Amino acid sequence: MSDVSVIAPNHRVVGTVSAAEDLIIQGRVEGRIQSEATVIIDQAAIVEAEILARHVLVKGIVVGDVSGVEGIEIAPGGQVLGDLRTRRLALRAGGRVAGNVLTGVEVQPFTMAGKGGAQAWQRQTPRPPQVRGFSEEIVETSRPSSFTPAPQPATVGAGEVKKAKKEPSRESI
Amino acid sequence: MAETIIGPTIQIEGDISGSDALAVHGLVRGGRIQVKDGVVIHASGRVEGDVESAAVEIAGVVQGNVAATDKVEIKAGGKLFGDVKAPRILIADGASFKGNINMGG
Repeated sequence: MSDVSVIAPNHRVVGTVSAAEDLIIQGRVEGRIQSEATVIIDQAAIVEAEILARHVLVKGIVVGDVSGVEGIEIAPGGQVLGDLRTRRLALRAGGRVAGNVLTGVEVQPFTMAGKGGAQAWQRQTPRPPQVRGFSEEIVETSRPSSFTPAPQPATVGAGEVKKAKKEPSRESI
Repeated sequence: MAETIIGPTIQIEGDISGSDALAVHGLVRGGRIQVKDGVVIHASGRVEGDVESAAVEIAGVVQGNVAATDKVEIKAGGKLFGDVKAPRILIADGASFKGNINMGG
């Protein structure tokens, strides 16, 4: 038994799927998929859902809007009937898109932390290692704006200010 | 052998149906699980809703009614709050269960 999360070919999920780890969909999903990590729509998978994830790889069929924080890849044979919003798009030969495509845009990432129940649940269950590295990255990118006021009172040398700036991000990791 | 695996950081709000086996390490909430093959709720897994399958194995927590055509097994550490309907029911030492049992007949 592998550790990767999979929706098997003969399964159908109706509702909202939230994930903080990679997820492979081989069956059917109807509703919404939101992930902090990668979502792979495998060949033969049919997804009628809005997708928001860090990375989205489409090898099957998606009916619905797809948002990828880092990137979206449409593999040969992959089809999307819906709009695409992402920083970077890779559309391979044989991949199809019917909808509006917006690249180079910032997509607000999904975080499971926003939901009290999910967060409490995650604390009890160990997170897979690849997810840990990923969530740290997100925190870091959002940190500079909230941390800029901190070094202000220290009007000593320029070198010391630099040190003070670096320390908080390291401590929290 | 195809199997659906709901990982520890995955949360599904809704229904799961189909024929393959299902392993729950995460959270399935508010819906109904209707799976032909077996359903295994692992120690880290939690299901809030009804479960219907051939065989159901509970090592985690289930809040809802469980119906199986073959058997229901609550393992040590497993918790079930809800009614059980199955011809064979196993409750291990250390498991907790609150609900009614219907073994048919």
